[in-house]
Amino acid sequence: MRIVIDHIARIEGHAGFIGKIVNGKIAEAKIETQEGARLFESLLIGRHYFDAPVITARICGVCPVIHMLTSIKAIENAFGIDPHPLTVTLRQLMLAGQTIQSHTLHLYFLVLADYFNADSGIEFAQKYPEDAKEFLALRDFGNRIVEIIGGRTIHPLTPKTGGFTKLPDTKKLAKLSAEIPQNMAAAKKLLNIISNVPLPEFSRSTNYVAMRDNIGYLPYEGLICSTQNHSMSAEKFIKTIRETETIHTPSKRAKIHSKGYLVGALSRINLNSKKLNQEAAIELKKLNVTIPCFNSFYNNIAQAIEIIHLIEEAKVLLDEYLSEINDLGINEINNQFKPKTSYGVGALEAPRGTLFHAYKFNREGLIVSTNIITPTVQSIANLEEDLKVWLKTRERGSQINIEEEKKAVMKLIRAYDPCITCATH
Amino acid sequence: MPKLKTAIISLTCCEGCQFAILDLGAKLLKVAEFLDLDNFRLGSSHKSTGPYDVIFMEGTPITDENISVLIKARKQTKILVALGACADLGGVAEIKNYSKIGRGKMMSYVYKNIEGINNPKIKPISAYVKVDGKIPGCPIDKDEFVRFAQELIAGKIYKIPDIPVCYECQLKENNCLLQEGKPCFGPVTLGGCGAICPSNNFICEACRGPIREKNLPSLKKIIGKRLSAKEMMKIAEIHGVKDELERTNQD
Repeated sequence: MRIVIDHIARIEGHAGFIGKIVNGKIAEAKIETQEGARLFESLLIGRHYFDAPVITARICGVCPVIHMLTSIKAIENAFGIDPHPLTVTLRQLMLAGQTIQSHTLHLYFLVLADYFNADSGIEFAQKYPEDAKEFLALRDFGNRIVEIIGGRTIHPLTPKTGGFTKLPDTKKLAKLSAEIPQNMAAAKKLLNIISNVPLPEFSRSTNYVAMRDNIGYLPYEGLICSTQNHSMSAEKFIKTIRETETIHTPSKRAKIHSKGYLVGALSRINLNSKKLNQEAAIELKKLNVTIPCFNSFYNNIAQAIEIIHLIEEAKVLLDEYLSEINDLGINEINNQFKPKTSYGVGALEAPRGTLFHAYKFNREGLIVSTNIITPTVQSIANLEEDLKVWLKTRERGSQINIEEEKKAVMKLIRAYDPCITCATH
Repeated sequence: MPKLKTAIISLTCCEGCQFAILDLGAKLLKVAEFLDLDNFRLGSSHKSTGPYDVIFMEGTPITDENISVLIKARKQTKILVALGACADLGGVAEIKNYSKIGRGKMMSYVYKNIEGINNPKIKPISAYVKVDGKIPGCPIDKDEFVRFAQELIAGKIYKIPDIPVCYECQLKENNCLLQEGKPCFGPVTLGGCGAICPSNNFICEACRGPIREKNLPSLKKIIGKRLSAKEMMKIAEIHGVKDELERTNQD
């Protein structure tokens, strides 16, 4: 029997699925990307370092912030630039905003419709207009953090190597800080809805990978840690993983020692849950989830917990920036630097997991070689392994109904929140 | 009044323009009152078929499938709108047209073992089909999308006034980046974006395409004091606008 899904709706980008069940055994479970070859890594070759964040932001319309900032981090690591602490604060705020908007979009518009028998996020929003208003506002809160600091939500403008082109309006930041309580309430409500839908029972332990440091849940610096391997630097990690190609589609799959692994919210919860902010930790405790959690559908719970964590985090970061910026101007904050022959790797936790950009530069700061490894490239092999087990073990009646199988497959794929545009960068 | 049956379709791209529409939030629900967003793949698993009154097309045609989707869309709709720089100009993907190492080598740099994958020269959608209107930019200005939608209801296709970015930039009383010696494309680029880039102290990279009466030689002269024309035009490669800028002005 074949399960073929031409277009998986409500995910970022174009992909299909092909599954084969032969004599009750799963012979194949493959995600087929349908994006054209985009060749971002080679688009950068021969260009100036300062074009890299601008161009790589265009890899993804849902997570441009993280591509831009990871790109900048790689450049700064190469040139030996140590950004001002307040530059890092603003970047972390942007990352928080990015993940709040991405997770809210995913959970509310793309996932919940699965559990409430609605075809679309818009239909779902029209069914429950009051909830929709609150969650749209929550997503908008994340977007506005990005906009106030970055100048624009999609493909921000102000972040650059060594700092910013312009510092944000402190009055607008103070206003954001005042909006924390209502957004916290919305975030808790979203968690409440997600944790009350009957998430399928499923368990398959895998290798969970995320960045980790001694300070926070979502570190700006840190080592790449996994539940099965030792922790290592980003430079070493990208040499450890192997990207395999499929012959006929322009997407890759990254593996560690030939095995799939998982990055993203569930991995972060499994590795870093002890460092969650207070309210997020309390909410997680209330749910009685055993950590580490081996149910991939709980990625959605992990995302909802992260929204709460990030709203607390945004408050801390906003207050920190507002109390320390005082009379400091852009010239005091931005680093002076010179390009040089160098190699640098940048890693950051994107909404969907750890993102890596690596560049080599010549003396003038022209890009000589590049490597970009996106979260979806890393999680997709794990998703396919999960799908095989899920198709084999999930509870069903005696008759196999193809439409039901398709729905089940899409439910798991959506729980992962794959980003196919990032996967085919 | 019956709603306009509308589809938003993506070819190969970042889908940021579709997200810009989604970012309208509550305003999107307002737009949905007069546009029947029947095929909004990102927000829906409902599969629909034409014919349509309007199709907004984002992205660059790269695969054979992209091209056939585009041609089919043209046949299915009364009005076809290019949504964003990828559809309008070619977008970031067009950088490969200008690369010295060549498309084949660029492909093998990223994918060592791939077979039978399309890697065509990048062209805007207007090179394949007739296009009735455009909402330019990388990404689009979401309020311009609303304005476009409102005009559609009135039976009109919104045409952006042929005024350069500099005009809006001056109204905002920004410091002139060109006068600071930076390679800003504001004088030759179609406004309507509120000069969002220079307002954030970031040069205009011409993502909205050229104005009709552009004067590129004059801009080259101004920028030429600091930067060679070749270096300057490398910036215009980013959104795929270099070829449009270098084309002679048409009446």
